[in-house]
Amino acid sequence: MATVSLQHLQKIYDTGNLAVEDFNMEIQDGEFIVLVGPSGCGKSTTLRMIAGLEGITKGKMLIDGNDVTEKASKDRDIAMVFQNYALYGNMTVYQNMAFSLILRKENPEVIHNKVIAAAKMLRLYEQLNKKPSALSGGQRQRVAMGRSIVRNPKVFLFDEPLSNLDAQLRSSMRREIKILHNKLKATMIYVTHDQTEALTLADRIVVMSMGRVQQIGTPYEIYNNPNNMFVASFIGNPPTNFFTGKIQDGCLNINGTMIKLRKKELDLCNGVEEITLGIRPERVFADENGYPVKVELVEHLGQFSLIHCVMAKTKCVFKVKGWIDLAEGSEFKVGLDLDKCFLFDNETGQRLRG
Amino acid sequence: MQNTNAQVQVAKRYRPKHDGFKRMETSEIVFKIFSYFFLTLFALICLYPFIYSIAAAFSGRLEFNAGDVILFPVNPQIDAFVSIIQQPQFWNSYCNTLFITLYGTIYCMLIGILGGYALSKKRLFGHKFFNFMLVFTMWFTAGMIPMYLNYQATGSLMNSIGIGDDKWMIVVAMGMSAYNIILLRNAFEGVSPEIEEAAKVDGANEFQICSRVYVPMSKATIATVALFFGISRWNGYFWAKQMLSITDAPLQVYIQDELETINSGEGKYDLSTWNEVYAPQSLMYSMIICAIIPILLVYPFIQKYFAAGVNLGGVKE
Repeated sequence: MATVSLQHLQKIYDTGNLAVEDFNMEIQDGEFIVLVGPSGCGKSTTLRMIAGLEGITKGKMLIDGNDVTEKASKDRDIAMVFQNYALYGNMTVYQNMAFSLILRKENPEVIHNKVIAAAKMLRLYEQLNKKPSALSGGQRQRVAMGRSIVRNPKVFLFDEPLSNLDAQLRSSMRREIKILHNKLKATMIYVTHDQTEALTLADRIVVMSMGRVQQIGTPYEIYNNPNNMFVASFIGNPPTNFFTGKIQDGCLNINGTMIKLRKKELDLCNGVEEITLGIRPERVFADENGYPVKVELVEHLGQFSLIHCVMAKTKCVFKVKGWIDLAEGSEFKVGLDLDKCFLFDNETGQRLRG
Repeated sequence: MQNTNAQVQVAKRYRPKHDGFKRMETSEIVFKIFSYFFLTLFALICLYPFIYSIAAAFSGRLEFNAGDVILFPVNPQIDAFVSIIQQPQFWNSYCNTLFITLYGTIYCMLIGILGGYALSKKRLFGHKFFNFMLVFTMWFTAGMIPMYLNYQATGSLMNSIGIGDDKWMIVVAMGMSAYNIILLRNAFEGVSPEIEEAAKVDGANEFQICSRVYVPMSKATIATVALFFGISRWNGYFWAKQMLSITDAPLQVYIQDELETINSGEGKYDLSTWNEVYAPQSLMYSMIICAIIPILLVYPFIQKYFAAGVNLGGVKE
């Protein structure tokens, strides 16, 4: 297992498109890192640069202190699991898993033992003589993981490995990957656009947008302490509610609704005129003295209900426990806990911090 | 569950008992009848020369000359085949054909696979230029005389480097087929680029990716192309006739020479002195059958790849 150091990585394609800009990160030995962001944010490009499948335009990359920036994939001692499995259809499961070791001219007995051990770990022992076409999606993805495990590489790379699976299988495979990481204690870098995968798997999450790193932090930090409006909106389901207004007489005036701010918040807003207040859907509570909201729609999720409504002429959604029935157009009042709200500079989108 | 069973029963009751003609429009029925009729007729027209050749090869002389042979051998004999088998020149030309077909196909596939693999990669320097040049040779051929001069030059070059056997000249000169390379290129383009990337990460070099991943994954197209080329070499006549001496000539040249002699009715084939149990034409048909037997033997084994291979190369998923 190994440390990975990514220093000012930049990727500009021949067409002039800037895919990744100034990516900096120190990944510790055995850490599980998840790169998350919307399509086209540069997360897969970053992973492919780490894998050696894309050239690095600028910057430096070290694995275990060795500069691998100019090295080919095969010389980086990494293994990669692809979104569409990328199994060799002409080979059996056994041959797929043994292929990399055969290319390295390993002792046949060693190869056999490694393949059997990996197959048992991934519950693929019964499938070893089958071709990939005879396997289910989950089994195929496990074969792809097995192919990586037998090599015992320094770094495991995962490029949206669960995207092709149905919701139920995705959930069980997610658990398997976590268990695998706990067993192997390997350095893993995982790319996904699914925030649930990011929050459940990662030791640290890297949120990316438009080729730039927006925030690096633990799942707790990312969820509870977002750096900017993008992170606050991208992480969390349903996304954070945003209310934009101006500071007036110690209050935040949102389309005429005055939200009383404390000295603490006013100090944060010092000099900034337009403020966006962000609040997670589950962090509001019913309050007779609160702010009026008008119900548009209620969605029942079983354990929770999502109340889509309008507050201060702004559309928002609240997540409340239990099965709540509210008529369309009905009104009620909610209270906001300012300690759990985020304040952003509306112009830059950056969080206002003390 | 009971509901489901009841629904199935109802569905069965109201399902049309005959799904064929009853559900068709009259125009569809007429179209189907004509289609089947003409397809059957066309199949028989294609099949009949084979059947007649077999019948004629095994029929006796008098019956053949009387025109009694239509569908089956009349007064069967195998002497025509025995006579051919006893001719050393026949075996010599058979060996020449096997040589040209075997080495020609291997050489063509080697060029085709390497060329197709390289041209399927967009990262190849001059990718578009080389692809254009390849297709250009299909649109505009040099013409008969330049090709003849080219083949002669190839022969001279090979002689100068010590390869005196002219059969190699045919193997090398005719080994490059733009059409086959394009078919193979399309097949390789159909392999997911992630497979190549996975192989790279696994530690394979370019040659290993081609030989251990791309070639096995494209075996349907490769079998088809090999069959195309193998048959064209087996049946190759014109350039072999132009470029090779009679000792190096393949079976098709030998058969053609024999046919001309038989048809001329001169020498040993003079009908007034001919006293074998078979007609000279039976000899001709026997040679033709001997020439197509290997193709008929190989075809069923490759046929299963044939349809799939054409689709695989033509349609990119």
